[in-house]
Amino acid sequence: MSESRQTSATMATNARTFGERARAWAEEYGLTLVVLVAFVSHFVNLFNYPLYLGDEGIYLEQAWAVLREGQLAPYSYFYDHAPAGWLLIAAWEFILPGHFDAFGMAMNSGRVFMVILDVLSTVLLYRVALRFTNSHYAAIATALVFNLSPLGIYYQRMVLLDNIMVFWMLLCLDLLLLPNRRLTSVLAAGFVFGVAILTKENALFFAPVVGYMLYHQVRDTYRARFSLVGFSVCTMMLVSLYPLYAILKGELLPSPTGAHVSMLSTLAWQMGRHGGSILDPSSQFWAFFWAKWWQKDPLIIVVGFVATLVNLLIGLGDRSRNRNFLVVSALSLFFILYLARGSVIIDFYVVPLLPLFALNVGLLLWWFAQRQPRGGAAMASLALVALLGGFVGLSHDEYFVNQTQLQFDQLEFIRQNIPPDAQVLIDDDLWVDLHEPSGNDPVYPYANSHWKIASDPAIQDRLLHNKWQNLDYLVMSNQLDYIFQLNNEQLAMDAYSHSRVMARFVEGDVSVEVRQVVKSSSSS
Amino acid sequence: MMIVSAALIFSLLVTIQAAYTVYLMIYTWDQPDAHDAAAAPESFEPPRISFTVLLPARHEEEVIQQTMDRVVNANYPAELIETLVVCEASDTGTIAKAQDKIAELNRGRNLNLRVVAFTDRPINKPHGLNFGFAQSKSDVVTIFDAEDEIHPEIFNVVNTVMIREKVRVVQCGVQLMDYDSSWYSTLNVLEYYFWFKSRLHFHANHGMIPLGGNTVFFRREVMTALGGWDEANLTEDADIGIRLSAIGEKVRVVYDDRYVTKEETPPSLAQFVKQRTRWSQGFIQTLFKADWRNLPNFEQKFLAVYTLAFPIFQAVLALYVPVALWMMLSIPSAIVVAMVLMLPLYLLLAHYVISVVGLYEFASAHGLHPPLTMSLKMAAVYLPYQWVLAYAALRAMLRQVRGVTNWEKTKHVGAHRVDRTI
Repeated sequence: MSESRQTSATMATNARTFGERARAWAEEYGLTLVVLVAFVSHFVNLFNYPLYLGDEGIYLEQAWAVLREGQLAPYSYFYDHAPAGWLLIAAWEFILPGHFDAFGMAMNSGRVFMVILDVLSTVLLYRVALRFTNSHYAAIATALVFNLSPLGIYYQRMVLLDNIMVFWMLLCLDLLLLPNRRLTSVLAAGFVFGVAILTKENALFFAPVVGYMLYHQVRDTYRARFSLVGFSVCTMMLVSLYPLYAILKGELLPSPTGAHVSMLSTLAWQMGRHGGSILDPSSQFWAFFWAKWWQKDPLIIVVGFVATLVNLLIGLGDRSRNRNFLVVSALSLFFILYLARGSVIIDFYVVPLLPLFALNVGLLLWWFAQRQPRGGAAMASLALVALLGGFVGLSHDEYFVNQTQLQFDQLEFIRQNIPPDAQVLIDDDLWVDLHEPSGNDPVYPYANSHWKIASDPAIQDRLLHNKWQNLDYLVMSNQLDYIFQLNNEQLAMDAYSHSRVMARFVEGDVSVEVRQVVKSSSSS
Repeated sequence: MMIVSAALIFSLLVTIQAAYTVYLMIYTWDQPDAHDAAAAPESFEPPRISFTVLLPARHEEEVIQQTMDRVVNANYPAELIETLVVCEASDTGTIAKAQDKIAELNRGRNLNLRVVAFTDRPINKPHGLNFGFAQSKSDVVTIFDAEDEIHPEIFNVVNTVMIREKVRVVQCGVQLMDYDSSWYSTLNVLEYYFWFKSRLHFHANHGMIPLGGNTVFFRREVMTALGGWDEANLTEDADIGIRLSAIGEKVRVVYDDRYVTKEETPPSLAQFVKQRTRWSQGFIQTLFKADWRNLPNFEQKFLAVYTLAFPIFQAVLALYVPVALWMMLSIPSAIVVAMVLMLPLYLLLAHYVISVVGLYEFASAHGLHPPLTMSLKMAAVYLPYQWVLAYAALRAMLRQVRGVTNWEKTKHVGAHRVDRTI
């Protein structure tokens, strides 16, 4: 009798010391662990998968133009995006020894930068989760979900403005959550929020939630007025540099004769684009949802969305006590609203949602562990392990498939078979590789993006005189002919239908080609 | 090319300078410790320290009596307060008014309150202060200007701070109140607000502080050791602050909205320019007198030079605005260059926004309700106000170069008091 009581007492002591030791371990090594996971999960197979995307190429070629030509884009810049993102990429390429050639194909140099940003974002996300919950467990859970979801790994490796914007947004949240009560932290957060907007304009959708969060932080303090006004003014000042640039270039207002690009016309054009809202099952949103997101990783979508909704209920249930839940849930919901509202979206627009889903999952697990003093922590840990196991189970291509070999072979083929003075239609994925001088490889000054061949007067009219016969070669990325049709790129379609395959490289369902345009007369 | 590079460098320097100034304005909101430390104590020690109040007055017939009332009616034992109205002997009007008031106040009481009149030169405030100080007897000497509206608890505040914190010099807040009395009054009020509420704390924490001209309290041994006020200086208050800092004397700044000494803005633009000219010239005098060289470390010396030379910066800055706009529009240059040339204008905008927020901070602290249109009015008068300051600064430089160092006294009519009774 007394012996068994003694044993259970010893066990209780052991259990407590186990809990304490685990907590001390999390405090000591949690951040190191998640940084290692972030690095490994993103760096392994980084240069092989996924396929270099045309959009990645656009941002990289614009960074190239900043460094090599002192301009915001190699073609006339028409205010499609604010430039802070590729200015940062340009700065990275500038300090990188070997610049664009540092890691083989040009895109790799950008992807290494993305991994660095992902690691930094992970540190920030960890800190943000820690400040919201005061628990290293919650922070570790958040950071692991962020870094192991295959959907996240897929997009976070790509050279995307969205990844850069996520970094600035997390930095903004981190600065706002610093416990030092200083006004300069708030002002810095305002500037950083401005940088986030200048990196990718959809950061604006976070403004109401960030404002709400700041308001409740400072409302009863002596620095309330200066904090709220200061944050807004710092953001606006930074963002105003963008229209200021347009004004100084004389490109703010539309040109009556259409002689130049205009920031406001581009803005109006973008506002007017429709991709179909979430209510329409045939909209872009659902197309990407099923074909890309759900197919890659249904787990993060379901768990992240459910956690967002549950956190909303927890937050609304007791607003003053659970305000953090409300904030984290609202960040998620506002961005979902952005995706679902019915404008044009591209599949990678989902990127900023991923850290927020992770944050919601982390907070919810923590809430559950707190709520059930007996076994809650164990069950939350079990749920986390199951989720992470699911992620790893869904991941395969991310770590084992080599897709970019196709693009490498395609590039080698071009270098050996196409003369440097040829008029070449390309996708943006190989743009920098074909323009950046590198060793003895030829440079292709007349290799132009199909987007510009279809729409930039300087290329379409003045260089090619609107004749498909003036094109010599077509470098086709995966499904580029489908893009031609989708955007009604007449010149490209004509050239395509008069071309023959010189080389085709295939891996699974992905194929790329090099084609030669066959001209009817041999007068050239 | 040369012009562009010079403009770029100049623009960047101006931007850094302006950012520094803007930071000093918000210092106290940025530093929670500084903010908490600036407050007056919530409970008072029993009165123990005796005070001599110096009331230097020259042609202050209109306001001197009310000020004497205020001092005498302060909530502090009368036997611990000695009041000296310091006049120049030929200013018979003020002397007569003061004597009348003494007779009236002494009815039924025996107050330690008298007029002391000097006959020697120069006729200025520092000389009057030295004269008054020589005849004072109390532990602590303080100065109030004839137009000041002092808070009844001010002596309890200082008594408590000096006893608890063992400091020997205390500067309490002075605040202009009539923010809606003229086109320049709003911005003038806000200058005081930011100076006392924020910037002086930065100075105090860095051991280099130009003191204010009144509501400043010195232990008598400190003043004796310093050898009194500099009678050749137009801003004897800033000068004595530098000298105090040079000997490493800690200065405690109390800015608590509840206990500020209330003042009025100058009644006319001409008076305002004269006052500002005097301050600017006094700062320049103090700069060239170079007592700041005795400050212990580089940071303090830098801060001193920066503060004292500020009128010069101010002149340059205000003149820069039209030049910047002209350069942006007329010098063909890269977009990036044009954007850098714009930076100082951004700082100007930041300065304006901080002023507007400051107005509402000030107003809520004093239970005032400025209309929302006030910020528009401020925007309209913002640059003209800067130009007036620049004009005064230029005028001061010119006077200094020509060796004109007489005291252009500011006139007081008691606008803040009229305001209160309405």
